[in-house]
Amino acid sequence: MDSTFGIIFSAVFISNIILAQFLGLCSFLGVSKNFKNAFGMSAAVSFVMLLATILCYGVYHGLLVPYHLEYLQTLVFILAIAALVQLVEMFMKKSMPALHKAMGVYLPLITTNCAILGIALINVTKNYSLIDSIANSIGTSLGYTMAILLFSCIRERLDEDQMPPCMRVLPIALITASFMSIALMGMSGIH
Amino acid sequence: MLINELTKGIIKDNPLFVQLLGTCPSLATTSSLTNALGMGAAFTFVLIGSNIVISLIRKLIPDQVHIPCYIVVIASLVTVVEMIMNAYVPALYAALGVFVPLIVVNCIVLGRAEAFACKNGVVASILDAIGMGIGYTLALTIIASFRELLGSGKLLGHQILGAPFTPALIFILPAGAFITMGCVFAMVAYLRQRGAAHNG
Amino acid sequence: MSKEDSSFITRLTLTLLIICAVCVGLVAYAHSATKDVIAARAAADVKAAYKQVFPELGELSKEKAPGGLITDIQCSKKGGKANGYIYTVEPTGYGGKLTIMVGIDQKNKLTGIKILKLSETPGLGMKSTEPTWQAQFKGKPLKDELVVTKQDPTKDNDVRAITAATITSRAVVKGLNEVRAHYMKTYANGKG
Repeated sequence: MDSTFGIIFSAVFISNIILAQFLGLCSFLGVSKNFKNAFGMSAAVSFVMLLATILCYGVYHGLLVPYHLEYLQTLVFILAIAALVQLVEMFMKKSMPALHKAMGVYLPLITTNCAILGIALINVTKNYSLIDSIANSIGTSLGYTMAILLFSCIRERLDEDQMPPCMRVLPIALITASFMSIALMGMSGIH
Repeated sequence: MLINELTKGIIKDNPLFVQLLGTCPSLATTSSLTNALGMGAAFTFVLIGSNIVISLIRKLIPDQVHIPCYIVVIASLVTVVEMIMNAYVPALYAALGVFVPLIVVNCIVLGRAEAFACKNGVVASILDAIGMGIGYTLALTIIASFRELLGSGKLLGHQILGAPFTPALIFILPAGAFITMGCVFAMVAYLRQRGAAHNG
Repeated sequence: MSKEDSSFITRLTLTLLIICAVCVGLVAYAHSATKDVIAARAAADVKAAYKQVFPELGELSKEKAPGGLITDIQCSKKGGKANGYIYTVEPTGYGGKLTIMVGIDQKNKLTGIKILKLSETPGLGMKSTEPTWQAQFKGKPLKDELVVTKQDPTKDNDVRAITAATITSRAVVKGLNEVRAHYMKTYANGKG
């Protein structure tokens, strides 16, 4: 499965960014307490991830490779992402106020979301072409959205259940995430 | 008291168990104790460096651009650590993979810069960084010990649990990381609740 | 914009610029200090891997790789005469591509394999990097296609699977069979 579809499928199910690669966990645990927040966060992450992937691809292959500065990638990518997030926020505030209202609060948090930088770095490490990078980022954001939405639905119900006080909130959430991860293990090996 | 800056990060304000920061590497790099210690060392080094630099330049940076400046400083330190690891401990570098560059977006490093180093002197900042580094490494070590022992019967690559024990591979896999962390967090919560009940 | 505003913006820009310049300078210095060590180590690693899969290593020369799974072929020569070939092949395993190096001698036998890069499940597929599993390939004749078996191997072309990691085992053997097909066609003793 080296095809573009293969990359998307594997990013959603087999190497799911949260449940198998552990990237973006802070936001996964932080904003998944209710469905509405989870939805806003995943929309913002998906949007920025796609833009960031294209931007980082351009910067890496357009600037760093020709001048043999590949070793600056971490530094340049994080700056590019931080600048991108700022620009997106300013642009949205001005021309898309409705969207800004829905996603705005999550945007500043995204600069330090390791999923975005992680995907940019993984695309470079795996030597993906532009199309493959975009496919990978789309698949990854689908996987992120799937995991965080399902998880928030479960957590909304968990709040009302009885359990030992020490298991409340985070421990039980982590154990729930573990079962979700086991479910996805069944997907691996499909090639 | 300067000594408090050192000790607070280890237990009272432990970055992982109490502040819940830096969760990503704590799951991804704890499949073996060696990886956890390596990650802890790399992290501590970056944190000490960033705290020193930021407490030194804190008065020179205008408030409006302090975040980009911190990010540049941290990213440079991380890149330097990455190169040193690639040159001298390649096996560890390969095992930690993308999580070495991702120290850049580790909330603890930026968090300490924002909350501590930009307000305090160099010595206090160094002590703070060492304390937080030890606390984080300790937390990673606890999670990794459980996972490696239960998942492969080994610690630091040495066989500890012998024949009658069958390693439960699930603990090395991602699902086991979530379970272990959930149980460790529950344990921490239990101890804190009991402590609170005793004091109150 | 008032004059104070513009001087303030200049100050912001200058601060950012200076910090970036100093940091990049530092990183560039670290890069120049470590790049030779990294390059030397990478070269030594490749050399050691060649030596491991093909102990009788002589002078190496690059051959044309046919594409597909096979990415590199090196011909080892001793005294101007070929004494074996080292293939690099990249089949797909459980969690992505595996990079395997394979040595073949003039008797059409495998001299050893080494898995250079893999992203398999740790603890399961990762066992394929253990020497005990890789050792069984040493001396295997290439007369017939290799076959993965879950029982103890009985025939020459049987390969014992890794317990609970059949997909990884199959991927390795698939890569080896691709190498075998190309080798038998192009270099097998008498033709090469």
